[in-house]
Amino acid sequence: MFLEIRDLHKKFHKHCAVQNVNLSIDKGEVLGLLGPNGAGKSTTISMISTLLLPTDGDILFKETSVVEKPQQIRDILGYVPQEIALYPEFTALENLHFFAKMYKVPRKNRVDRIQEVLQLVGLTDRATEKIETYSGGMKRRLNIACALVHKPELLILDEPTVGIDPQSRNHILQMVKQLSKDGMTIIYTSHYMEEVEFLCDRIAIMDNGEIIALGTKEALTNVVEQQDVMTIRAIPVKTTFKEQIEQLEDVTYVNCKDNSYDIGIKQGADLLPEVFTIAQNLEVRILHVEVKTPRLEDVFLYLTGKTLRDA
Amino acid sequence: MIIAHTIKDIMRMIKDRKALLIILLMPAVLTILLGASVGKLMNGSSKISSIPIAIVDQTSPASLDDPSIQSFITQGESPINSPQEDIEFVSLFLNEVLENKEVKNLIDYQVLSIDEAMQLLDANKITAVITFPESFNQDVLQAMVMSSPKQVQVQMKQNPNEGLQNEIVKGLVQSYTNQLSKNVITKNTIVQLMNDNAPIRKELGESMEEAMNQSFSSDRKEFYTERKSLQGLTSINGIQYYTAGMAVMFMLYLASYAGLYVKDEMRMHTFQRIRASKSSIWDVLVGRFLSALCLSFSQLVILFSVSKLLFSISWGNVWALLLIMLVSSIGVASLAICISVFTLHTPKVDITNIFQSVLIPFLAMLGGSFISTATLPEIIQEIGNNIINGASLQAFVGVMQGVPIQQLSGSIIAVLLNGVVFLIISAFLVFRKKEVF
Ligand SMILES: Nc1ncnc2c1ncn2[C@@H]1O[C@H](COP(=O)(O)OP(=O)(O)O)[C@@H](O)[C@H]1O
Ligand SMILES: [Mg+2]
Repeated sequence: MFLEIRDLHKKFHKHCAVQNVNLSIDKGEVLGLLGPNGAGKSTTISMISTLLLPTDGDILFKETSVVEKPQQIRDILGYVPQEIALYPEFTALENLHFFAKMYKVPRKNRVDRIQEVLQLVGLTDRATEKIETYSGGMKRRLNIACALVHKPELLILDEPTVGIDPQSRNHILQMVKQLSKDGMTIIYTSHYMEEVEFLCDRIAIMDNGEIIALGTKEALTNVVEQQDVMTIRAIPVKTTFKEQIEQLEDVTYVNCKDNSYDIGIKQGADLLPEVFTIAQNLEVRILHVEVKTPRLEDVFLYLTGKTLRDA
Repeated sequence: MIIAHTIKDIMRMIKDRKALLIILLMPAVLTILLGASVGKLMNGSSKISSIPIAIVDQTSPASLDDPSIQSFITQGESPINSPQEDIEFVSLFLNEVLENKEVKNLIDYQVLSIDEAMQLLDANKITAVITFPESFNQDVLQAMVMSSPKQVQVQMKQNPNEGLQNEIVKGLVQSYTNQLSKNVITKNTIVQLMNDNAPIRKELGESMEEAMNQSFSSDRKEFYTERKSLQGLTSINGIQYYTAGMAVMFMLYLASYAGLYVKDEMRMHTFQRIRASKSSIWDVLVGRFLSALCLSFSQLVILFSVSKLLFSISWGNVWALLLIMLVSSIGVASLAICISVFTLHTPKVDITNIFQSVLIPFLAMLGGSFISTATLPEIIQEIGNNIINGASLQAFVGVMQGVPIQQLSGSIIAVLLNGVVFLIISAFLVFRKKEVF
């Protein structure tokens, strides 16, 4: 096994940030770590990257504990922090040179490797500019480039696309896809379902420090296979409306946001008449009704009763 | 790898305009302000103005009739007569030492009675009263004649408000009495003494001739260096003193920047990134030590050069000065490591801020960056002269005064010991918190 996580726990004072995490990753695999803010993704990743010591449990890299021998995984690791971990007063080239030296890229390869990664992230033209002058998207791309200069075997990306323009985001997603095709093992953390869906072979869903679901995209959607999702838009917003729908038989959950309601119902159940009756009694006007088969997006909702974004 | 860290740290500081203002421009400006204002206090000249002192002469003439001297000289031969003229060592002090051209620039003396002198001292009109006690001449003579010389005593009463000036007067008197104790005044005195007193020349002269000739050349030289250092003292002016004073104060600021940059790297997560790479914490720390060393050395060179260019201050021996700069930089680099490690160990405590706003001004005061430590109580003076900046300052001032480097080894060792203590504390913190390091 390339990487194996066993019973991982991390406590900060009394607060359990990560608990009971068991995961294993094969060589060449892309694993998605999905969860809302505060789920414990970064903490888990930090422990894999040897930046934090687990309170309990162990992480084995090629059968060797990274807690005992951190250098072994550091040698092949490309770690992209959630933050822009770059020196803002330096140019892209200066940053890349510095991190290339940190990864002991041999002097004779250094310039070539740096040109390659600049090409890869599309920053060749701006390489001699201070990164203070960069846009958010460009900084994000350079943030990744700095973890690639030494051709790592294992690349860990912690929410690499937060707060950037769609173009940069697309660029990053395509790049990660390409790296994976070239055989790199990747752990990709995100709270965007689509990204994980697009990139990953397997997905681990985290909430409150625990992995609540783990499997391929197909396996996970199977969990909610017996479910349909009915989406209603209705005005005015009334809590009694939501409560009365929740009371109905065959309804598994109701999630309300503004005037929009996601209602999980047993597959094949026809609840439309009941919903309209309730609406009529409460003088709520239904603007729009839609029934669809579930997507991965709905798995999290099903498991936790909340969407990834409000969590 | 280590060098990569060093270069990175140096580049960060060079690109940090605010830091440069604080570690270079501020001390330069303060040197000028403090140096100039102190210069003004000193009668508008930047040299230390002449120090007013009073001489009280209570001596009685020395006599060779003293039984102990007689027994020494005669040793079985016929007794000798008393000298015809008084032997006057006090006037020797006045004429040979105080009337010396170099010393005259420095010291203004008047011969007074003890009461007059004490009145002036109480009224702060004079800096010191030097009293030659009644037995002085006899003591000196005895010291010269006897094989085991008696320590010659001179009393000094000083105005407690005049630190630096007191030191000068004390040094002057000490060097004189030391020379007297060592039987060496000037050859002329001895010769004159011999001439006035034929029997002595005959009896004593022969027995002393050899010893005199032996010791004269070397002791004479020593007397000369003492004089030279006094001459050096005359030329240490406000600008010189504050160049050193501000340099040693602001080298502490430079060290504190290490903490600031570490905090910054933790906040930006570049530190985490480095730690997840092939670079170890030791690379980081050794790299930082070297960068702080280079930066501190450059800072000192620049500050002293600026003073040289603007005010053409005297540096003293350039090699000695460079050595002190290097030693100080080693101390500063160790302090930088200590602050870095503390920041990593306890990020919640803003050590850089505490250091800059509380500790540095305190240490600077204690170390004599603002006013000479000589004004402080002895115990505090002792501490002040042994903390990193105080010891550095002592060494720098010493070099500019022309004190030979060997005599500054105490200060040099003190600076290095400070460094060792900082490194030990750092090592202790590193081993105490394995998770970060
Ligand atoms: N250094 C820390 N000290 C205390 N609590 C922390 C620390 N790091 C993270 N946490 C807490 O642990 C939980 C998980 O955080 P994190 O792993 O950053 O989540 P995610 O990356 O999924 O958003 C959060 O509740 C966070 O507040
Ligand atoms: Mg996170």
